[in-house]
Amino acid sequence: MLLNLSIDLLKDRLDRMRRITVILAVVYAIAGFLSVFVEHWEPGVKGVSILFRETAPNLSAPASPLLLLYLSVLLPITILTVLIFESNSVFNPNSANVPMAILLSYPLPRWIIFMSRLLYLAGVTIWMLIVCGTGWIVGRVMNSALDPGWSVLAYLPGLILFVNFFAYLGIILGRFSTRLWVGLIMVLLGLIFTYCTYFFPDGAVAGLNLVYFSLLFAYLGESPLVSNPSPVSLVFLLGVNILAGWVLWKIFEKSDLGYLPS
Amino acid sequence: MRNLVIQTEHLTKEYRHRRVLENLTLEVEPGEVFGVLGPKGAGKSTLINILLDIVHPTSGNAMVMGFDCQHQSMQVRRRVGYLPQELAFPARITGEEMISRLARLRGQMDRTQVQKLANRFNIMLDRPLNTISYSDQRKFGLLQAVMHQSDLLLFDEPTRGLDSEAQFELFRLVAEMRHQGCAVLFCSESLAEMEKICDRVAFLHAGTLISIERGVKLRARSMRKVELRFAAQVRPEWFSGLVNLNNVVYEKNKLYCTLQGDPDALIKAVSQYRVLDFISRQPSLEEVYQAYFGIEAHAA
Repeated sequence: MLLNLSIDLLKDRLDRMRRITVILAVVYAIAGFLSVFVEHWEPGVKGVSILFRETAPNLSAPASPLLLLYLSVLLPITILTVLIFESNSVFNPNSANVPMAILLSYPLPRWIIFMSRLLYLAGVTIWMLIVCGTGWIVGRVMNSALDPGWSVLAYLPGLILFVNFFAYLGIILGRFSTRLWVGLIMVLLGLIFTYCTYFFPDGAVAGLNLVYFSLLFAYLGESPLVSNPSPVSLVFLLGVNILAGWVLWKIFEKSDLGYLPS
Repeated sequence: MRNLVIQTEHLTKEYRHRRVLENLTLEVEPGEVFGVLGPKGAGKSTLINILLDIVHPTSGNAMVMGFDCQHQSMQVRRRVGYLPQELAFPARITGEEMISRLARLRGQMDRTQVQKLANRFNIMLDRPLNTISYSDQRKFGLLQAVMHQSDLLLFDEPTRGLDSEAQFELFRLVAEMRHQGCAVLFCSESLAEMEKICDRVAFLHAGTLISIERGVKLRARSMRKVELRFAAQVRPEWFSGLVNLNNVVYEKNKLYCTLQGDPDALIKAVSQYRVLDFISRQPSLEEVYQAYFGIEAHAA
């Protein structure tokens, strides 16, 4: 039943997802294609690219400043944007395209409805990763015979957990405030904090380097990408996901799901 | 012990410190068509949502067929068919596919019966639901509510968007359901609909129950706004004297009045004149609440 509901949801959202998929695949293929030029464009490297190059002396193969940009900013932000809007649609009982009102009148435990939606979001995350990842790699391979960057795969579990955590956070804050934009702003602030503490860890709190307060640390390891993420970090990320999922479930369980009066 | 289909006791619901349902106590018998009348925001949908455990009450309790709506909601939902006020369907899904999905969730469905109902309401099940008219979507909503042969039907504004033919068919269907022992909770903003079909009607006002009236009594005192146009001048005092005629206004050979109950006396009174036009219409909910209870239907 759980799987059926998730598949139904996927079918219902297929039109929308198809459009997003095509757009993202093309954008990432172009980005992957162009990234090869940027990597070999020594004298003119400026801005974010040079920042990563300078702060990433020990970057593991394939040594690429863009890889960090790709893994830490481009990919999570893209997937998170899709996820937050999708989660708002599938968790919002007043959403026009998801027939939750009828579904809720059928003898289904709430947890099945809840889990089917989480499962759908996990499916969307994995699908987005496949699309963006394939687009990027295809773009790079088209442009160069260089290693397309398979080492990136080691970061995928962390990435999935990282974006899902922020997506859950978005839903929780959105449900609390009953406004999507509040959830979005809070997630944005959380992300800014995460990026700032990871990339600019100048300072310490209680003797600890600020980088340890960043979820990017758990996902990407020591700043910036000096090693692969440790299993402990992944367990930590899994833990915060379970915690956020549990809070989300409690909200879903206790909340009123019908068409609410404005 | 009485075998009640719906029983609520002191049911109260607050949304963000605003009471949308207050201390509601009512009982619905098996095989009864029970109307809940009230303007938008009176608490009709909230009541249904609480019965289905979609919304949690702030206080009080609700039982459906002996099952607690909050703690035994699965048992409740197994026995209830529901037509929501707002329907949403995914893009491209056809009526057939939607029925298959819903059947998978509960079963208790006879395909032949579904097809019969679809024919009866002229619903094209092979077309995507988001491409059919609003009226057809509502009919489909009705179909999915009754197709499981439930013991209780919860209809939230069932006539909304329906043409007169479909409305007629709906009333016939409700009468058949009642005959089969199925109870119906019929929420609406139209007293005329209630008069046609309901055994009893609860009047809600800003979440509070103000009265429960028997359908027979309602029909007996039903209100009509009447407008008569005569060929020549008439004596209005003839009409003012009629006991069930109120608000009589006469101007330029036209008589406006409010008729309560049967029109026999009025028809006899006008029969001595040449009548060019006779218009009778249902009063608005506002007028009904004002006439019956002396209050405004749409409370601030």
